[in-house]
Amino acid sequence: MTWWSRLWQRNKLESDLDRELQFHIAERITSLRSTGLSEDEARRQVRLEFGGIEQVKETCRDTRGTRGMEDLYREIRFALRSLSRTSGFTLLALAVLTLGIGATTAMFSVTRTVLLKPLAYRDSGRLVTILFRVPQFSKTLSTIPVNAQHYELWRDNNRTLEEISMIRPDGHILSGRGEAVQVNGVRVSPNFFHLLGVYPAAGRGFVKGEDQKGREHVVVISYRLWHEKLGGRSDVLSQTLQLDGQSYDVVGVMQDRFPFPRGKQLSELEVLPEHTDYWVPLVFSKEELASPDGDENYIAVARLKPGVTTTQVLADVTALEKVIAKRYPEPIEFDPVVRSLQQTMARDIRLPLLVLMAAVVSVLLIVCINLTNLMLVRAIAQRREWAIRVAIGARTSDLLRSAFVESLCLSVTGGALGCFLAIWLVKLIQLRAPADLPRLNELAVDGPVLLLALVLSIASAFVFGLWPTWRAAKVDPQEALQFSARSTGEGRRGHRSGKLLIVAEVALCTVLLLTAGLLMRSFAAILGVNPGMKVENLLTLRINLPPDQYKQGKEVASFYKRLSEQAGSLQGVKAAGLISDLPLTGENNHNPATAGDQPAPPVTRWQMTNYRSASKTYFQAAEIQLKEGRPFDEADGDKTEVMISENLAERLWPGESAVGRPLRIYSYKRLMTVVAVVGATHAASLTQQPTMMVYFPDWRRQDLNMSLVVRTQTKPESVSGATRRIVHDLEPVRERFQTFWSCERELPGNFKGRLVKPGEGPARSDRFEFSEDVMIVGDLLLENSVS
Amino acid sequence: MKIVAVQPVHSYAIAQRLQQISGEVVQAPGGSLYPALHRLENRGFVTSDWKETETGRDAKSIASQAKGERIWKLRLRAGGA
Repeated sequence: MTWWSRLWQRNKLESDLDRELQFHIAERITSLRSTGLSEDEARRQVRLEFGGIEQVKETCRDTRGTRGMEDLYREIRFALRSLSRTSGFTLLALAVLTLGIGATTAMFSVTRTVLLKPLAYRDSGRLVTILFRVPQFSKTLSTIPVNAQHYELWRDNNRTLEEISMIRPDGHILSGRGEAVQVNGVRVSPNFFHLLGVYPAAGRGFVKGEDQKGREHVVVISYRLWHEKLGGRSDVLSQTLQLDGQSYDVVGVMQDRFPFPRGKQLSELEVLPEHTDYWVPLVFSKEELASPDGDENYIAVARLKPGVTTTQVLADVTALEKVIAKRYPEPIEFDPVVRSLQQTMARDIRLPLLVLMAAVVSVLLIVCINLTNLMLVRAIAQRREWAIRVAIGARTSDLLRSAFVESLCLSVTGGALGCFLAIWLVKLIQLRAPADLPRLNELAVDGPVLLLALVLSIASAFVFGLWPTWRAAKVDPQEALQFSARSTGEGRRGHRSGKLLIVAEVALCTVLLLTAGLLMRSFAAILGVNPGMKVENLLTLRINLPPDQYKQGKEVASFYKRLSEQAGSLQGVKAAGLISDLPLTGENNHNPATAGDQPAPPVTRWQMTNYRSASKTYFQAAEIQLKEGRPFDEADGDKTEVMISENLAERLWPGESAVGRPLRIYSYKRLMTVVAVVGATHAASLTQQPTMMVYFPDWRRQDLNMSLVVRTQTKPESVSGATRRIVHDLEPVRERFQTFWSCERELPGNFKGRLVKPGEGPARSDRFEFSEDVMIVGDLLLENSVS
Repeated sequence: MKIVAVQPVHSYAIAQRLQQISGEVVQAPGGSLYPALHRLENRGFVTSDWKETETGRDAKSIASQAKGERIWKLRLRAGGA
């Protein structure tokens, strides 16, 4: 029999052994009796000869070689029995272990995926982003995107990069395939896929030359777009797509769940789509290439040559920047920032994650300390039992081993339950985390994470298992046996170690409380921020007019004028207005500005503003306070009127009235006149300072895409149907509802959503579908928290 | 091994033979015989089987294996037993 089978067939072996020895004894008795001895005499003789039968059996058992395992098995059974006798303690211990190990494992999974796991591109450790930093703006913008001319210079003259490419987010209206929808994608240099080392699953990426005019109407689509809009057909590569009325040939389809950066992961200014539907070649215009500044709209992604570090690349690019600076008399100083791609994506989340990790580890340590205490008490209660064991020959190491096995059973079970908790927690995080948490869909409880759970289990068994046992095992059997069960006192030494534990626990609890306090503080700060506008009873609609049907500015202006007037005169509506971009939807349209009635400082010291176009009723509808002056009016006729936010006014003309003063805006030759000062709002997030805004009259700028803002007297849903009808009557375009929550606060991340699985929820025949309360945008189910 | 090499035999008989051979010097105490037999079996030098004896009882009969015989022959040559 092999060792393995001997392990499992113990019962059979035991009975065999017994039969064997009994046979021997019986034969010997028979032979002795044949020499004339009586039955009893013979038996006695045999027993003397043979030795103790149990001893012989024991020696035979030793030869099997399975003793170790059998002992362990016995220990485990014993431990389980003893644990089930004190079920209160066991359940409590299991509960806290599950919590501690589960939470730590889940946090580790998140931290590992976001910070440690390499990106899913070829040799992703060598991918970097190159962006600019302008020190003067670094309070609000840590980096700004780069411009085309600089890129070309780097591309042609660098010594440290294998490849470099640029990307830029993009959006178009896709028509001709069912209902027209807005699709969002990215413009990329032709070598982009080669740079990443990831190619379309079908077809090809872009080839050299497709960034030249005339050849740039090719598109690589996402897996999802292929299924949703092209029906997943197999002849997809011979299809064309109509984007904003232009024909694009489909040349490739990306694989399912292709991981691509989203939102603000690469840059706060160039916000990538939540889900990229397509990639098209990036074409630079002559103007962009000609100018060393302006049009900083691109994110540069590069691959390092083997063996090169980011510091070397930084030095290389900085040197090239100096070359550009020399060319122009009035250079703008750009500091290049070179960071690994993974670091760029994780930059905002790194610190919070580490803080959370520290908090969770503290919880685990507190759990261990608590358990140690509990085990100590338990060990004292078990003293009598151990005393007996010692008295019949158990060594200290035996006691330690059996206590360790008990702790191990406890902690491994707790660890296993903790793994289940971790899996559930990770799912919860995936559903509830802000949508721009990097690599959200790569979160998983996989091999290394489970390994950590196992290590934690075993380590905690060591911590709370061995020490109490070792302490309590130093018993004098006699003393312990004589000890009356009533007394559970400890000696002086017991007090000291108990105190040590308490100190450690208090210290850890303090750490935990501090962490929680810090997190709560930033949360509370957000809650206390004044958004600058009232968000109750506000209905908003985003409208994207198709460019091929609204070629003339006059048509656009006329549409929006009628829309605004009709919406404003609906029953139940207090006021309606138009704005090019709502607050809290992101910063864009940046432009430095400075006072026009003073000598202009260098541009880097101008104030960075966002500009918007607004209708005159916008401020009334949004209930943004008018501080000074009066709203602009069409009847005035003057085309240089603007309204500015109060923080800008305070900056440019501190302590004085800004009304009537001239404003110089970077990209405009003419000076603007300030006619009013309004309350400040937040363009991007409540966690940042209010944005400095310049509002242009909407009839002057005639943007195709505007948001209609409707202030209602009661619940906003009551007029949403009527408003939609107005829009449809004027123009059957796709519009998108956004409803502000009725609470006055809005958490960063703007919308609460949960990921829906394919097939879940209402049938998605189109990109944007909505009922009054629920909206599905891509994969996110947005629920109106009003209802 | 020598006893067993000849033909399969049951353990009591081995004990008897041992006594005979050694001339009553080795008392064949069961305590050392049986563990030794088990060790041989675990290493694969002998196999065991339950067979019926002449007296009608079941006895475990030990038969040597080729492996065991080889080792035994080597040992013999080397001077052990």
